[in-house]
Amino acid sequence: MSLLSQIIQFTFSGLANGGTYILVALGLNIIYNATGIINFAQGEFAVFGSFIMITLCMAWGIPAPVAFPITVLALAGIGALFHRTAIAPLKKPSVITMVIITIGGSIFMRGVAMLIWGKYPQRLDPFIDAPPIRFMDAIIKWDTLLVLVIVALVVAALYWFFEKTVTGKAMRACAENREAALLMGINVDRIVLLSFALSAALGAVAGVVYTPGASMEYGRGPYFGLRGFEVAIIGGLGNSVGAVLAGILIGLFETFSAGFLSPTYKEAITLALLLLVLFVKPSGILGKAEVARLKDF
Amino acid sequence: MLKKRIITLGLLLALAAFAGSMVGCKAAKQAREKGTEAAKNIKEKVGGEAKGEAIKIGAIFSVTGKASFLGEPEKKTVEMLEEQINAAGGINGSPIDVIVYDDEGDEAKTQELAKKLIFEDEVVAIIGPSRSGNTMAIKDFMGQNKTVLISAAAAEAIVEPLNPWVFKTPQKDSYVARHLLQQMQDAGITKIAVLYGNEAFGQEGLKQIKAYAADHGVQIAAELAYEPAATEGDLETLLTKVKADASLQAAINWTILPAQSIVPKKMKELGIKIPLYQSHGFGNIKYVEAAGDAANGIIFAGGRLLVAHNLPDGDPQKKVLVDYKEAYESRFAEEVSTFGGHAYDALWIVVNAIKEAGTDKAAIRDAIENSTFIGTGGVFKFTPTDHNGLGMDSLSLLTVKNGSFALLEQ
Amino acid sequence: MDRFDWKPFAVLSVLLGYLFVFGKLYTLMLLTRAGMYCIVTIGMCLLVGYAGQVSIGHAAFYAIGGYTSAILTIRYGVPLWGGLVCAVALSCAVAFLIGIPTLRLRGHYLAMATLGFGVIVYSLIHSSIEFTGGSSGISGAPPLTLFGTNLAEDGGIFYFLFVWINVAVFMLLAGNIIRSRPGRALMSIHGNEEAANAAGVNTSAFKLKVFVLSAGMAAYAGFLYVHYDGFIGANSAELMLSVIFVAMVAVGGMANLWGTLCATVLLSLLPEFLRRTQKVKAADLPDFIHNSLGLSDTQIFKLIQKFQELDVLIYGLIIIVFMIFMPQGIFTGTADMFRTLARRVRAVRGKRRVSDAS
Repeated sequence: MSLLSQIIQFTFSGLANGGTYILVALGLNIIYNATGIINFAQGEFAVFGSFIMITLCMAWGIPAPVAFPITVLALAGIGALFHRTAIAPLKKPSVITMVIITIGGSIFMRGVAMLIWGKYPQRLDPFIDAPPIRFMDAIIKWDTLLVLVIVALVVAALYWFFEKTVTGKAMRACAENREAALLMGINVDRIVLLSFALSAALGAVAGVVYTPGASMEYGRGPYFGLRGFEVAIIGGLGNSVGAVLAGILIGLFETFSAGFLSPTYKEAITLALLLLVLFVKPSGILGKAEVARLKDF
Repeated sequence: MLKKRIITLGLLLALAAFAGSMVGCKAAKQAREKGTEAAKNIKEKVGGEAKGEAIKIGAIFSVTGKASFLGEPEKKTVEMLEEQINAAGGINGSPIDVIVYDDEGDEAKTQELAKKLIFEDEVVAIIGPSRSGNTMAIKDFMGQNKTVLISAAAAEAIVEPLNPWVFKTPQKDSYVARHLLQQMQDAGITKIAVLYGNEAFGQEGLKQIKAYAADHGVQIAAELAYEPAATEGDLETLLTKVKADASLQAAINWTILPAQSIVPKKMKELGIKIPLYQSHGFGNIKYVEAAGDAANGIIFAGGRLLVAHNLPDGDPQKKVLVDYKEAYESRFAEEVSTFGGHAYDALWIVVNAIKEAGTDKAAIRDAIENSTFIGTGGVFKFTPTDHNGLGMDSLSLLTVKNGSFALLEQ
Repeated sequence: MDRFDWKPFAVLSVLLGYLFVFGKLYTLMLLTRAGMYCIVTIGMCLLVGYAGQVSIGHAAFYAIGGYTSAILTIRYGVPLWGGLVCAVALSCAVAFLIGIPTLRLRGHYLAMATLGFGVIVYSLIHSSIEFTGGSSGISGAPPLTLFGTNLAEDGGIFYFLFVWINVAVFMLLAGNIIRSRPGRALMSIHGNEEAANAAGVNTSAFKLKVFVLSAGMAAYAGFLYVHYDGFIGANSAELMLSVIFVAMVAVGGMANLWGTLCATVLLSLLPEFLRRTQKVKAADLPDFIHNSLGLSDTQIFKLIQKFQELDVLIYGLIIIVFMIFMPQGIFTGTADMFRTLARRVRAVRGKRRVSDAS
């Protein structure tokens, strides 16, 4: 197997992982923009999405194209519920309080997932059960391509939502200036609720595209969360274009460091990149001026 | 000024309190000893009259958590055995009471539970824990508190160096490694890749393979670790490396993670044709089912429990294996695994020792050191220096044929 | 400005003395572990509660302390005090190096950076098999001895005392820091960093100092842990432990040392309360459950197990409930609750009296 075909193989593996990270990071950004909160329970949304999809497809035998939107809607509901029960009752939340309460939420959701779906990893059948594409000795699964298409579609849909719809514009206005939005007659509370629902729905998509062919277990939330933070921060918190770029970057970096450096220390190497960015340029790879401009999206 | 004075005063007070308590301690300790002695006397008197007081045996398994696939069958096995033994009249007329706790795979919890069993429940011996790391966490503690521990975990380090109070029932990791390496030598394989899960089981396996590879003329060309949370893509990356090196003649995948099913599937997808060897962690039919077609032809070393019905009638273990397998499967409606077998062996060894030597902890220990027992893991022959009691012959080379386990034909 | 308050110390001493003489051995063992956590959370309380710098990576320092001492004493025959000095020194040095860039960050960025640091340390400990023993950990560390007494002997009642005297000393120390000039500086940082800076407080220096101090305390607790049972494993660096430490401070009411102490003890003992159900066996359940529900043994086994798995969920719930309903912490919160209750009772009585009179 030549170096080139290895690189092709790694690229596709990396992009597939990166796609999931992008979705988690976008979810984090939406909540961050609307409320200034980093939601440490974001990874748990992905786990719930994945498990609900597994239950619908594997246990109840609902075909994947039908189960997918049901899962996304269910998670939107869970997201809204999370906001109403854990976030909204707080009167004067400080950053520390918010960090701790969302961590509490993530632990709670993990406990619930464990109670409902048990401790064993659960499997989801591949979406497209066809022989993989062979290209120069590299093997590319149809599901990998599907993941990339879904991620691209979701990103495009978000763009449309934030640019063209009234609700999307209202959410942007809230992100820009809460008081001003309030004065313009925007129902800020509803917008915040909506952002939690949307963010959880994105988490569900992340969980669903991650699972086929692989498996899911209750304790995987922090893994998604951690990668999501990494992507969100490296892309610049609240910056969605940055998140897409950073997601691709992290996915590839992770796979190539495992492939060519050390699979054993992959985790440490990938996180060291996060610390480096935090220390050198906490505003993310796309500098400050651009952040302000691109914050829209 | 005030601050300094307060600090000094505080330190002085603390010192005084400490010194005072050290003196007080001795007194308290004596009082304590007297108390326990009195309690013991009462107990002995009562015990003498009311025959049939339950004999308490402790058990710690990872029933939930990452290692629940070990602990769950172990706990079930022990509960089933307890009923069977008590239905048959217990030990010399006294019923046994096995107190099972769950350590969730967390070492700090194992330590707490061992303490709880010894000091609160006052058990005569402990079986478990399920995992090697958890066993190591209480190895010294058991020695200090002079209570027998029969571990259901595999690592060599549990019995080497020897702690006079610690035994184990699973076959050693090194036996598995040597079986696999011997088979490779016979097949003329000299260059391999080792994939392993980056957790205790996989790491111990890597250690043993590295220790014995040279003896069998096998060279390890690549050590490839993957995290417990590894995605399909991550495993694909590792196997791409295996595929890229055309000089590799075989791969060992040593883990207890779901990766044992994903790796063979991925190898088939990627078109990697070299033979795949796996560890005794593969001894659960669920992994074979999950891997589907790709599982056929995998070579691994495991206990004979998996092929109990295919053993020749003369095999000394056959009756034990078939009986346990049938009892377990009819009761819990799920396939038996070797892990439950380790707990089966551990409990029986303790029970046999109590039958022979009574409930004195030191007597139990001595009785075990001089016992033999035909169990699910093999024929145990314990000695004061061998606290595992099993030989290389306790394992067989197994393979998967048409989706079920079979003995490998040499 | 607060004055030194001796009353809680008196209560603590009486309580400890009582437990030491009459407490059950197993209770003392559990409290010994809780005491070690207290040493960590007292430091965390200064950092998170008073200085307002959240850290989700303190288990890393706890593990660094434990591993350093274990490796030095077991492999290199270094005496215990040497292990202690190296453990605390290394942990402080790491905290210093990591603290300089990290503490420039604020809010969420700081939380992420410490989280990332914690996970890196865990992953390094976990993967360096040759050096740290990997997932199997290191065992065989010598027990702590003081004045020729093996403290871990006899179930470790001396260890209990030793740890809790340490806790008391650290409480004094922390109390002194808070009442002193640096303490006021810390609180001003929490309140408003810019204002503190403008008022001439060297905020970054203070933040760094308290970060290093808390790391040193965590390392000391790790040292106490490893020489108690002689073992340390990678679990001691896990993310969940760091989170639990933060939760203890939060439940204690953030800037409240005694509250943190109480919360730490209660949350450490929580798993033990939940464990009480574990003795229940499928066979112990009355027959009618087997018959009326029509469940197989395996199903009943699973059902019992479900109830034993609640501790994760309960941890999460406690954190949320406390943050929402008792942000002032378990101590002040409960006191407030009683006060409100008393007021209501009085009000009701008052009303009744009024209505009686009329």
